[in-house]
Amino acid sequence: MTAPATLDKQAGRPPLWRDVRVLSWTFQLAVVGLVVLLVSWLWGNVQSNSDRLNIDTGFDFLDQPAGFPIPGSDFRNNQPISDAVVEGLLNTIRLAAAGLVLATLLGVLLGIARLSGNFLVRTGAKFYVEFVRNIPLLSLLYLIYLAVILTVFPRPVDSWTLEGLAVLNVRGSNVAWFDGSALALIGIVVLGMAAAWGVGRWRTTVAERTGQPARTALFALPVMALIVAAGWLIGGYTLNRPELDGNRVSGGIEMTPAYLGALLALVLYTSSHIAEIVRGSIQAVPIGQGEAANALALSGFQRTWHVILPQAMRIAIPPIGNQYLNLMKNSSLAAIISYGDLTKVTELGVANRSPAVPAYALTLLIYLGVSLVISLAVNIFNRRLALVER
Amino acid sequence: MSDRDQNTDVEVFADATQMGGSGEVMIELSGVVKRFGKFTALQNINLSVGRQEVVVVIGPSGSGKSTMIRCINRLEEHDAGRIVVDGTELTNDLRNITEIRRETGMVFQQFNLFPHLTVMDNVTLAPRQVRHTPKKEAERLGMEMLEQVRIPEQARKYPGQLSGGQQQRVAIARALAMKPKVMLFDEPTSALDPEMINEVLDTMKDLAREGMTMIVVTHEMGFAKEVADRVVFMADGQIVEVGTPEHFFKDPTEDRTKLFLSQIL
Amino acid sequence: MTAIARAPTAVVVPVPGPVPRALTWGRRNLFRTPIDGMVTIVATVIAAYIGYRLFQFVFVTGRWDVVRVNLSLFLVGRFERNELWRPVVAVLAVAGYIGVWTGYSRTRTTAPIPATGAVIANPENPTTLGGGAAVIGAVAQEPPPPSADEASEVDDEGATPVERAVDMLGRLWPLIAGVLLLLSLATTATPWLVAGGTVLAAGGGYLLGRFVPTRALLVVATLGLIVAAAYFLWVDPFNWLGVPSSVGKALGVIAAAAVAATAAGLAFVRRIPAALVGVGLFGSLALLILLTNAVGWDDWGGLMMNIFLAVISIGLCFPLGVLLALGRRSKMPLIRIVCTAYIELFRGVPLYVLLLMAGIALGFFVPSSITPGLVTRAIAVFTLFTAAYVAEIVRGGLQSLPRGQTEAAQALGLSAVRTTFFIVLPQALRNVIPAMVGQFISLFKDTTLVGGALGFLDLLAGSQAATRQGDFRGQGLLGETIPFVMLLFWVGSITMSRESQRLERKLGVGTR
Repeated sequence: MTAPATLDKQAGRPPLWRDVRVLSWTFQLAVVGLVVLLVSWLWGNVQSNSDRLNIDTGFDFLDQPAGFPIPGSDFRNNQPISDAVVEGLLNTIRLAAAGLVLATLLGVLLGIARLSGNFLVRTGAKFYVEFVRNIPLLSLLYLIYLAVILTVFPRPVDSWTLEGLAVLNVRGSNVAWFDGSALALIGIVVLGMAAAWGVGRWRTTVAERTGQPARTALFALPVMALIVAAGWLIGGYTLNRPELDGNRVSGGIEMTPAYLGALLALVLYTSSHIAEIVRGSIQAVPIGQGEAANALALSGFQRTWHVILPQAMRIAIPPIGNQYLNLMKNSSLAAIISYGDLTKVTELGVANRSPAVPAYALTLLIYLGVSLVISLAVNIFNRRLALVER
Repeated sequence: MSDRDQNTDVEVFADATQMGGSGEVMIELSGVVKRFGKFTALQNINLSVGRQEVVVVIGPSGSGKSTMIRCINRLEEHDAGRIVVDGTELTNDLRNITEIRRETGMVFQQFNLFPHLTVMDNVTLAPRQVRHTPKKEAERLGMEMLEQVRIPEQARKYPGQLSGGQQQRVAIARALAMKPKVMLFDEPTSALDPEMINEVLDTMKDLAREGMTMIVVTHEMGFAKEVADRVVFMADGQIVEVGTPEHFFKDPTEDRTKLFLSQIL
Repeated sequence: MTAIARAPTAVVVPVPGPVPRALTWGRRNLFRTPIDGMVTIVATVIAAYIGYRLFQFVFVTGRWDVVRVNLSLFLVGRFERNELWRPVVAVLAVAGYIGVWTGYSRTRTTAPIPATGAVIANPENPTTLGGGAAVIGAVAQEPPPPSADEASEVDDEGATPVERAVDMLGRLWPLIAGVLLLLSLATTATPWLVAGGTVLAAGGGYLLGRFVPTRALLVVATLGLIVAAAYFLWVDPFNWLGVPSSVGKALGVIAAAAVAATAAGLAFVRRIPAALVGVGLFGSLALLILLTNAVGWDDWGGLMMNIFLAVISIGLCFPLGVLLALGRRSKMPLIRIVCTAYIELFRGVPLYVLLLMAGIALGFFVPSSITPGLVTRAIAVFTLFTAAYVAEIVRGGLQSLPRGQTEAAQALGLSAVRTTFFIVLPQALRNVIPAMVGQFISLFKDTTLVGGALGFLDLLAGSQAATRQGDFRGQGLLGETIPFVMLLFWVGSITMSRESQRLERKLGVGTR
């Protein structure tokens, strides 16, 4: 067996300055080192500036009494700031949650309307979406709040009333709400949905066995309605209707003008983006899919429900998830019109002598946390859909 | 011939360096192992390729053929064993890696031409950037290479405007422009329409005739029969059998080889 | 009588006469089913009502004087009236520059592709590179009919100037309408002159770039730079750096001369795009100095402020964004962690909160000797924030690149840096141009936040300031000013997004 040819270059460990592994790690450590230097310089500046101005850099300020009220709630100035932060966060969640639900509903409707067979419906949706999508959210917010709610809405004495359901005026809007534990009601609704799902499964089994259409909705929805109604009565829930008495409004749940304005602006703006996403995702489903469905003699509804929508949804979920994040972050704009959300609370706190850097850092971290939660939820949902498809 | 049939691949190797090659060892792989996680793609590969030798590597998919030649120019990093190319060992030494990549040229299954550069720019990029060849000389060299692969008129076009066969020939010219000592081919014709395979194979045959050391992973048995000095059969990450084309296609030793050949011929 | 068997005559069914096209369209689009018909009727009533009220508002009852009188407030905020020539010069220079670029890129695309190089989409061919098409080059003896892809290209090149002008009108009508609207609200003749001048500058630049040979072009560029140098002699360009006046002027002249020489050299060796980019960068700096020399940028306002913030932020954030994207995809774990942390942090927090924080707390992060102005803070926040989004966009572009590209470059022996610079980035960046334009539009709209967060008098804040002026106070005129501002933003936004869609189609992006 011939010996291997003699090597010109020395085998074994290469010199350090040419070893790719050493080079790679040196580079990384250098970059990280730079970053650490930068961060410590910044932090050092914060410390020295704070010391110079005699300001704290810790989070002790959270235990101090707030010294400011939160608009639109009965938060009192002697409560600690940590309570204020919680209240602010709750307000943000109230705004964002309602916004997400309504924006999704409206957005999906508009997206489907943009593909409608009816010319007027199609064009109307197109005008709306193409306009709202291209304007700044803040301008929409100002228009709705400053130019509509504050100027057009009547004084309490002349409130607009929708009999027993809503009373609107410039000081606030009251909508009929229920009296009783919200948590328990959510539980009842969940129970109803579970029952509906169970009925759905039963109907599907029957349909598979007999070949007759399942008509799940026909069976499941009444069951859910029955359960919710039963729960309502048993739980002693009553409807709290708003009433106008002279210039006072009582009853129902009150939405401050700021809340209403912010909610409307967020919903109108985000729904236009969601509409575009929905439209795009339906159009992205290859046209052959619809043709195949037609060739199989599926009805229009069956074609949409079984063939088009499942595929369109899979395409649409990530960008819609992104819009959800945007809505949550855009909710911070409500602070501009003095809605007591997390941003507003931070502003008020800092104006009342809370140290700025820790306060804003905390706020940013909280928003980041909420973002991550929403992202996670969307990712899980997305993955579940994809798995189902495989 | 008969005593060779009984040989193990070590002894075949001993014979093989005296055939086809000019005698010197160009590439040597000893004990090369490559793992991807738990999966071992290469198990104890031993192969020597002589100067000016044409080695054709065949085998079923997943046998490790592509992994093996990709280890040679460090597109994959081998986990154990030694790889030596023209006296330079392939280690973590940046200088060695760069030198080996300069001396080996690779042609890919998917061509991997740079779509945003013209054909001429594709061919001259490396000579200008790596060997610091001045532009005029690089373009002269580039035209020479394009003439060698017989498409000089396409020099100013973009890859997207060429057929598959033309693109692959440009890829060969691009690799040749670096004046490599070894050319590695990773299934060069597998992505081509049938009518274009021959133009590429012809180019490769020309190269072999001119004395280029080549390692070719391919399914083109005709090419192997015509041009190869040795054929290497790999399966499941191991070299199963090595031999001359005559030995291989007429009367292979191993059962596995026989099975494979029966499936494709 | 024998019954004569007669072939039964064909039953003649009267063929219905041609139905007027409008009727079939109407039937299909408006009245397909009874419900559809009802929807149409209801929708028509609603549309008519809205249309009527809108018409009334815009043309009859709307009190547009508030916009008319405060037009300069909307456009430039409280910029000194007698220094307004500076923004005008800047607009003219930018228009001219864009004209030159457009004209120059025209000369490049009209170069004909050789006949054998006809482009046909071949779905069978797995070799999709770049434009996603393969050529039956040597095989075809005659140029095959142009595919849909090529047809648009042919239209662009083969259309007469009149046809091209009409096409541009159809595309850019929102922009043209918006400009005309602004002009119609003008109370003096100056805006008309400025608009006319801009069109002339753009047109002149276009002709220059298109028809003037290289050497002459570089003469023009040198002339422009001589003007800049003269300006630097007159003004003190670097005093904001704390450099004494004479040194600053000398530096300015030397810089202008150096750029002129470089641009001339580049143009001489036919590297026109590089020369143009160099001239553009230097020219931007010169314009910036021109604009800030009399009025520090803290006193800018109006639409000018929004555009300025958007442009400078996207320019500054671009290198950072590309670096972050490369870092996020790096194999080196520490780099990846650092870049991912940055990106996720800035993408998870609201921009408004960051702006508030910058307004109040930025001073803590820098030594007390430096007090950054409000505009500087805003630019810093926008840059850092947008860099994270740009990083995600570029990362998408990097991921869309097939791995074989880097492998081929590595196999050729190209170093990592050269691979990135010559192979990876050109392709990845070209693919993400539409997404980048989308991000710029977002940024442009987000610049309105500076009004609420930092108290600037940008375009949107101007809409409220206008209603507080003198006679207009307390008249509830926000219903006029805010929609006006919305319209301006809408015009800018939709023009940019349409042009980017067109660019997307032209470059064949996304068709692999």
